[in-house]
Amino acid sequence: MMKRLFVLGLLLTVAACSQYQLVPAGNVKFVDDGATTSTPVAWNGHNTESLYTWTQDGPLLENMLFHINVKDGKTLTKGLDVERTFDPLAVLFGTVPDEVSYRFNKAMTEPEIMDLFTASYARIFGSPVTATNLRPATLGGEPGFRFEYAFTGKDEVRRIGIAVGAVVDSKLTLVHYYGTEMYHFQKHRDDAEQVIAAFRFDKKS
Amino acid sequence: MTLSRRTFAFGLAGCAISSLGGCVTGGYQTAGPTTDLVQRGYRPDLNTDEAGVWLTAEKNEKLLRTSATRIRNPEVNALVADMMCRLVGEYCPDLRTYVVRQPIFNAFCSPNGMVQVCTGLLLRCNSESQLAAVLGHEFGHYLHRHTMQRIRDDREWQAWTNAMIVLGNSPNVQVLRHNILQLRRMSYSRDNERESDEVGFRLMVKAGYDPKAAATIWKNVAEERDAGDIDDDFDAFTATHPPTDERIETLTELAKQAKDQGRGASDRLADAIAPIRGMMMADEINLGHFKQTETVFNRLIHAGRDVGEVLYYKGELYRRRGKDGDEAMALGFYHEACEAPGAPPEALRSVGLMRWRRGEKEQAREYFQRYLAVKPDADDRAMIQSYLVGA
Repeated sequence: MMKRLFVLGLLLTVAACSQYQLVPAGNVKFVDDGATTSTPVAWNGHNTESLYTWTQDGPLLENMLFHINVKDGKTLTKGLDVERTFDPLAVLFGTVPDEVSYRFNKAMTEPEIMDLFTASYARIFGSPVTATNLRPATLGGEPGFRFEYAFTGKDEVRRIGIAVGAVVDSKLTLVHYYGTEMYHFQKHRDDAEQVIAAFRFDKKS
Repeated sequence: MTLSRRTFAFGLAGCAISSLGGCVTGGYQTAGPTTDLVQRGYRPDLNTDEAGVWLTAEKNEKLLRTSATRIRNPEVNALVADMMCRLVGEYCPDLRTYVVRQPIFNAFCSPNGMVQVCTGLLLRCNSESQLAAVLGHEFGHYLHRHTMQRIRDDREWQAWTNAMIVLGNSPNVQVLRHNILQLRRMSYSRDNERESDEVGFRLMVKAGYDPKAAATIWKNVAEERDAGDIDDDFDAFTATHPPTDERIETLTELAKQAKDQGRGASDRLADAIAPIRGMMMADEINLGHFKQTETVFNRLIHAGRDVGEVLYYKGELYRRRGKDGDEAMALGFYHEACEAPGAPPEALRSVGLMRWRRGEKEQAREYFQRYLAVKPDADDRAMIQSYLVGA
C-alpha cells in the first residue's frame, strides 16, 4: 500500500510540476467533457483524463480542481483505481490482493458522495480529510450539493477547501477549491467562487 | 575513544585495499560497546557517533510535538504514558510517549527515548496487557541500544566488504557486496527483534500484566494476514522481523513458564480509546484492505464493547466496497447497529440513506427524523431536511 501511495504521490507531484498551460481570463471550455465556465482572472492549468487542475500561485498553495462527468463505477481519479493494476490471472483465479477501490455509484446520495470525496482525497493527500456543512446547492443550474473540507498535509500545513457537485445523467461532476488556511485559500476564494458560479453543462444536442 | 578490534581491523583492511579511499570507519568515535545496556539518565558523549543519532531523533521529536498527526486525547496519552512507566520503572523519566494517528500495527522507540504508538496498534489491542507486550518490546530496543548496534555493525560490514574490491569493481561485484550487506542487516535486525520480544515479555510479567497476551497479539496479526490472503512472505534472508509463527511459539512457551502470573491484570485500554475508536475504525476502512479490516472489526464485535459502533463501521466497510450484495449487507449491519449499544447517530442516517437509494422513502423518512432527533445540531441537517421535504 505504501508503495502505491508513493507512486500516486509521485504522479501527482509530476503532474503538479509539468505541462501547465495558461488558462486565460474569459470563457473556458473543458474539451470533450461537455462543460464550460468563465474566469475573471488567468490561471495555470493542466488536465489529465477528466481531471482539470488550475492554480494561480502554485499547487502547494492553492488549487482548483474539476472532476467532470465521473461515470458510474469509476474512481475519482484513475490513479485511485488499484484494482485496474491487478494481474488478470489473479483476478481469474480469485487470488487478488486484499485491496479495494472506492468508486462512484450513480445511486449514491449526497452524504455518500461527500464520503467518497474525503476517502479519495485522504489517499491523494496522504492525510485524513474532514468535510462539514453538507447542504443542497446547484452546479451549472443542476440540483446538487456543497460542503467545506480541511486537511493538514504531510508538510504540517493546514489547508481548507470548498466543494460543489451534482450528478447529471448518472455522472458525477465535482468542482472544488482549496488553499492554505493561513493565506492562500482566502486570497483566491472569490475567483474560485466566480468560476463555480459560471460553470455550465453543455446542452445535449 | 574506543574502537573494537574488529572495527579497526576491518576498517584498516578496507581503507588499505580500497582505491576509492572510501574508509567508512574514519572519523567516528564510539562511546563504548553497544552491547552495554542503556543506563538510567543516559546521554551519549557529544564527541560520539551516537550523539549524532540522538540529535537527529531529538529534531524529529521536536517536529512530532507539534504535528497534526498526534492524538491529543488526554486519556489515551495518559494511559500509554502510565503503562510505559509501569513497565520500565526507574527509566520512566527517560522515555516520552506519543500516540500518532497512523492506521498501522506498529510502535517505534528512538534511541533518545521517543516512543511513538500508532493508532492502528491501539485498535488491534484487545487488552491493556497486549499493548503492554508491545510497549515492553519497544523498550527492549531502547535498553539494548539496537539502533546504534545496527548502525555500527553496518559500518563494520561496509568496511569489511570494501575488501571485495580485490575482485574488481564490476557491477556484479557491486551487486554481490550490496546483497551481502542486506543479508547481514536483515539477519541482525531479526536477532534484535527476538531480544526485544524477550525483554518486553519479562517486563510485562514483572508489571503484573497477563503473560498470555504477548502471544495473543501476534496470533491476531497472523489471523489478519490469513484473512487478507497475504502470503507469509517471511524470507529467512531478507525479513527484518522473525516469522510471526516463531514469535507466537516462543511467547506461548514463555507464558507457560510464567504460569499463573498476571491474574487480575488491569484493563483500562477500552475506556481510554473509546473517544477515538470511531476515528480509528474510519481510518482503517480508508486503507481499502477489506478482508483484514473485517477481521479487526469482527474481533472488536466479539470483544463486546459498544458493538453498535463497530457494526456501523462494518456497514460502512461493505457500503464502500460496493460489490454485488454489499448494499444489502451494509443495510443489515446498519440496522443491527441501531439496535445495539454504542451506535453513533450516523447509523440512523445510513439506514435512511440506504432506504432512500432504494426508493423506500417512507422508511427513509423515519430514520432521517430519528437521526435529526438524536443529533439536532448535525452539520448536514440542511441536506437531510431536503430529503424529508422530498420524501
